[in-house]
Amino acid sequence: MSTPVVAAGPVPWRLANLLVLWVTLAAGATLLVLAWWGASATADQSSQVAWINLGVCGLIVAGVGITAWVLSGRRAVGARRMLLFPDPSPGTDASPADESEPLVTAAHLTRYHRSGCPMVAGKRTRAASAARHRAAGLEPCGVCRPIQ
Amino acid sequence: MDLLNYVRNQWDRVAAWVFVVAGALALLTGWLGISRTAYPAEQNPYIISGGLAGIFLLGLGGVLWLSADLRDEWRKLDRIERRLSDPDSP
Repeated sequence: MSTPVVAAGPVPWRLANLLVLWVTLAAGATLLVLAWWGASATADQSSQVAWINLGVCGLIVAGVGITAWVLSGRRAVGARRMLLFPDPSPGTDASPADESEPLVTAAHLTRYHRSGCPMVAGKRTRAASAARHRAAGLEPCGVCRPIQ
Repeated sequence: MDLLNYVRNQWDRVAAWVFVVAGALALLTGWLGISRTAYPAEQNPYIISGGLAGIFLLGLGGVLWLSADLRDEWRKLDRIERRLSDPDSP
């Protein structure tokens, strides 16, 4: 299985994705115009049905391009999210923190975290038990999941 | 909020609404065209120019809106990455 490559830049798409979108949209629009032009030029219904089929084909071509565009964007965003917040392996990070593991928070945060959580990396933290954090109105972090 | 600034920053969402409205108008125009004639040979072109083109425009509006959402999420990941590498960054 190939590793998804994260696009570097201000948007989650590459130039190739944009080209595919433009080509398919242009082809779809062209087929639609052709279909309308052809259907308008004849009064024979069987010929018109053939032109309508051409129009439906144009719609399908454009739909394929649009789907590819959205999927490539979602894949790039997902891959980047996975790079930043890898899924915790079962039995390690996802397991509930034991009583001895320090759970930390920092000023102005609304959640408490495991000490190694990237969301508190570099912050001045203070440790306390989960019960004390909860009593202070804090919720467990959704990234490191210090589930109690 | 200044309208021009909003249009400049959210051009894809504004364009999405324009395409959605244009698609709805195309569908309405197609329906009006078809309902004004009893001859199928005159109705068929409206199926393409009104129906299929309307669906095409609605799809364009949808893809622009979804692209804007993905772009926003990408920028949010940018900010998170900057905060992780430099906690003092804004």
